[in-house]
Amino acid sequence: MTTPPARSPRLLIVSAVLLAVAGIVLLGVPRSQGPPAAESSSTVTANQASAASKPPDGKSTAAASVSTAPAVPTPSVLESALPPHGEGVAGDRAAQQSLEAAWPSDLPAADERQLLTAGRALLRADATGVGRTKWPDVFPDSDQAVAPAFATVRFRIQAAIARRDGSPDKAVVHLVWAGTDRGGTYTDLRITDLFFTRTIKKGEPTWTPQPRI
Amino acid sequence: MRRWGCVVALLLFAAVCCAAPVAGAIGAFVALPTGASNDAGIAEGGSAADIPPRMLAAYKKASQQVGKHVPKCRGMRWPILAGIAKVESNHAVGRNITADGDIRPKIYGVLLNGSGAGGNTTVFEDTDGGKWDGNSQGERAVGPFQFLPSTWEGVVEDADGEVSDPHNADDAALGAAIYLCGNGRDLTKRTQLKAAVFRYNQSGEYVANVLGWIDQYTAAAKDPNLKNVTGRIRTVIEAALSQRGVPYSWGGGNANGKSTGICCSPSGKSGTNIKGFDCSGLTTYAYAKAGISLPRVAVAQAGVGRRIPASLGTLALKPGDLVFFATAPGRDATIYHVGIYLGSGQMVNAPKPGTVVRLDGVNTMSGFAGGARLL
Repeated sequence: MTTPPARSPRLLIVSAVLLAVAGIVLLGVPRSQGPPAAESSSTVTANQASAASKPPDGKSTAAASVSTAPAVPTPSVLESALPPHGEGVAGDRAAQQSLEAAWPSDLPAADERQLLTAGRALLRADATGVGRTKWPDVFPDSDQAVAPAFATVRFRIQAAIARRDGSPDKAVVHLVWAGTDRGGTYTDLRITDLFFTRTIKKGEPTWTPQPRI
Repeated sequence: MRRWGCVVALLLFAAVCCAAPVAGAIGAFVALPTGASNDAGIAEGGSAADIPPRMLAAYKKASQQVGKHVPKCRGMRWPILAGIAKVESNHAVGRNITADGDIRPKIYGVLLNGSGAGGNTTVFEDTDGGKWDGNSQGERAVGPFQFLPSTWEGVVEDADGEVSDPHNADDAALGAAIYLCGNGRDLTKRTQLKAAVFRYNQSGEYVANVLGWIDQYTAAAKDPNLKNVTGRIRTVIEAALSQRGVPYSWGGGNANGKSTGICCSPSGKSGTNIKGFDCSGLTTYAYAKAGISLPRVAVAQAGVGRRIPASLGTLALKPGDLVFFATAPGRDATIYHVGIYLGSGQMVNAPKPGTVVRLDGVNTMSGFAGGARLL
């Protein structure tokens, strides 16, 4: 049995250089699922990408031949990035991680904790009626009877983050949740933004919810 | 020989670079706890065809008659009443509705005795002696529009006695229209429409839920006008529609059509034994028919073509556009779903494991994240 020929040292050097160059280039390419900027800038990015992909003839490169697609895609390519509707509690962790990655934390930890606690309670109070008496400014008629808009059974906050809303004294609590309405329709991945401003109460700074309607 | 060696080395390098982040994503999913759930999560329907005809007739009649009782009221239309009734009673679906509009068996809400059942936490004293709600010991909402008996009595007065029974479709719909119109709201204005719905139930989430249905019924009532859709847009839509009924398969579908998927969604739903499509597999296939090669996952598809921001609303969409949904609209990394817009507020999509390729209302799903126009 013969042995394979020894590799040329020159070939190895060339390969190493090419690999290094390729690596540097790839490091400079933005990842498609990396943390995006705000809405306006992400839109610009998409448009820029679209414009940049146009060849001189003006036709979009998106109109590439179907034959360029791999005939048998690998399973890893097929993996969806985020869970769809109906995944139950099993999908909540992925939703939470996705929010945190896409919308980086920008508040002091203590503020974030206070806002999240308040935001969760406020959403529950608004949707189910439970705990409205704790928020007399938001629910001025909370001493009156409440016909719950969503049932407490199956009400679930799937993910939540608290972030600054333009200025240090404004914040938004972004919630993703699930619930069953009065007609019996269950939906998940519902989205609610609750807005707060920092105010001074009894000499202490606190976050005060803003009216929604 | 040397040239081929370089090519092989580069290919190996590229393969490692491309696979690394994807393998990480798979690892993250595998690490998630799994648990079976039968939760649907998506509200189905959203067009006039999904409303019992007798109920729809009542909504239309009431929206025409309300001006007689509240002359200053502007903009009352049947989708507003349909939005309320969808959320309150699902249009009395499953009940018998006579030609006269009587709904049987009658629809009663949970007894509002503060027991916590059905989410009620406060006590409503009885006001009608059981006349409408069949219970003299407490109070409960009644009929397809779920009036509290005390509220209904006020509506009867406002209607000059022309309504009498909250369990009758026509009476209840007209009563709801009068109640929403108040002292003469202009419901063509969004703020006044919100105020009207808020009066119905003082919950911001209730308002958001009802407005979603109103928008959906409004969009669905418009002529889809697909006659004017031609060329490659028509090719895309027809390709997607031709797959209606094909099962959802996690990771399934490609440019060549349906295919078996992979294991597994976070809750453990596997596509390995299902030949079908997931949401982005369907769009990949449909656009491939028009000669367009899309990235494979929904979030990547949002980076192709001209982006239509969510802030423009669903009215900015045109047939053939990709339509996206995210847990944080405006931050595309949170996009989890994609469909193809058909017009009239409808999209064709592969919604979720356990379903098939079908039409769904765009406005019935929370998290609209804009669209992308490729053609």
